[in-house]
Amino acid sequence: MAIPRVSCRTPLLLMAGLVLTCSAVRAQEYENPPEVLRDAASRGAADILSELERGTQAAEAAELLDQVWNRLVFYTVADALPGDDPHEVRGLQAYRYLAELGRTDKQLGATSSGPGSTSLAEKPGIPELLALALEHGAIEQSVNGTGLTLSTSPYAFVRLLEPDNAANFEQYGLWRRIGGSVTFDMRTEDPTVANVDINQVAEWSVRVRVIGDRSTRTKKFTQRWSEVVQPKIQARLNALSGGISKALNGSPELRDAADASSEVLKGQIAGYLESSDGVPREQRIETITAMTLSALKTTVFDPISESRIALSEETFRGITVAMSGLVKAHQDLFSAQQDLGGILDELNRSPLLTVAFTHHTKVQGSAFSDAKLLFETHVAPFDAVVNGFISWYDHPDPAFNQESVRDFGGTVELAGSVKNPFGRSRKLDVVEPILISATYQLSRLEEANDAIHIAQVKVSIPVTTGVTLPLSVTYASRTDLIDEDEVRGNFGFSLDLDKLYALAHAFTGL
Amino acid sequence: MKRKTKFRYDVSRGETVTIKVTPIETGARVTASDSGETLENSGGPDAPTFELEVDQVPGNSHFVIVECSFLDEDPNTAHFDFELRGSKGGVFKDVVVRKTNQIWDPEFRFTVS
Repeated sequence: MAIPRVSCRTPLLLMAGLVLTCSAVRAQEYENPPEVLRDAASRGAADILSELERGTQAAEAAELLDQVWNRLVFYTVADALPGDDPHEVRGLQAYRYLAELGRTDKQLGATSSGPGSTSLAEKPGIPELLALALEHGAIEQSVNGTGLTLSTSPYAFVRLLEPDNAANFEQYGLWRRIGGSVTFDMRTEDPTVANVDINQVAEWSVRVRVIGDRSTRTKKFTQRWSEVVQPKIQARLNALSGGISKALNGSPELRDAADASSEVLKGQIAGYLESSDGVPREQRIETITAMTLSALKTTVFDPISESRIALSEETFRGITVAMSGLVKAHQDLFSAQQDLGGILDELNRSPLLTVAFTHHTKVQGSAFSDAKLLFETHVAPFDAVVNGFISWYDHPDPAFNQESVRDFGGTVELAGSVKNPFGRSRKLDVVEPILISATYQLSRLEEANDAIHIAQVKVSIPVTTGVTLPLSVTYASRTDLIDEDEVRGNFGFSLDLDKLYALAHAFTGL
Repeated sequence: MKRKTKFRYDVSRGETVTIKVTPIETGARVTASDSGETLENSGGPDAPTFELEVDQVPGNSHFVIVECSFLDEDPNTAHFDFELRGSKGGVFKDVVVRKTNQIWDPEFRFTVS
């Protein structure tokens, strides 16, 4: 990576000149830096660029270097010191922040009788933000359709009026218990929200969560996180801040050199930001990273390794101890990822009971409404979903032998998971397991004076963050309209906008 | 407390620095450390607050790192608002850690002048 030629205009250059010359900054490269050092420098560079892209002046954006500079100096000092112990920094992998594993309890598609639904049993979760699911196929109807479901919660509107902080999240918790959704029957070739209208509404639904709360923002979950995960994060922070303190408070010479270097570097970065408008984002990040590593090489690594800056025995020992603590903390954080998965599992397996009302408009046949009791809990090793339902016609048509009550029945689903071969490739990616479920539904269709048995096996394959491919095979003893048994295969895909939005930002860094 | 940059401040020996963190659209999962020592949350679960007593000798610094823990489920607009306050004056409220940031554990340096 070539280091750009940047004019050295800042007055602070004079101070920096005690430890380096401007040409040296340009010329030196930090070849093969420790992974943890390069990663932190790169992340810092990305944040500087993001700040610039938010409209902040280049000089102010460059000041974000300060949020990581001290750890960069510490890592570099550890790399430069003689002996094996400090060199443990080279064994440190890039630090990854803990992130949540996938959730599966949100009902993103249409209800089980909606157009194009691939779900036989409904889950009781309520998405807090707008969720969109577009699915192809059909289960209970005789016609294949394409359904677009939009769902939300009144809490999303509360957030327009009040800040969505922890206090309001608790105070307005009632609104989070309510959810609504509308499913559009998509007949056009362009299945986008912009192309739907009121005449395409296939069903609308209102849900109220009676028991349970699976939000990771509840006090209960935060408390569990504090007990299980936080101590391991704390250990890393203590080791890192302790090491920084030992290095920079222990050696005024090193501190002065590092401070002067950072001031010069911030000026260089600001100059580069102003002169590189139009350069691809990734290239700008790489260049700022290279500038940062070069400055560290020249003003920290070389003076330490060449003993031009001498550290006391106490400082050396303090850095060594801190580095050992940091190595252990990083190792422990790998298990913390599993701990986090564990408490998320606890959360996701807690019982949920939801009452739902759905109105199905007259797409084919008579319009009708249904009421459902949706219950989900964990019965080791399965997640169990139990639905009870009754539906009734708005205007029963005697010509079709319809009575007020359309049908009633119940559904039981047992679901488990297997490992997903589609792995994580970026920080915001999550490895969600492949879900396999078996479902049985028994209902009585009044107008046919007949019982309907439906059995289904469904596999949901998360192919990437926010995108799931559901496949199912369904046997039905009859359909609503035709008294013949059938076996049908269905496929579709579900999109979770929350995750896709996060993924988009991970790619763009905006 | 006087600001040099968003992440660097000059403080007086004996001064108390308070860092209050308000989570927006995410849970109150915040961890803080000062020069190798745990900073306890004195603000309760809704508004994590950390206090440090400046006891370093002049010229030395307190190196504070505050990690904000987002979860994958948090929306992309989730963020943590920081308020830094010195007991001898100075209140600063413009530090924000966003989920879209690459750094979720910024460093703050308080140098004794």
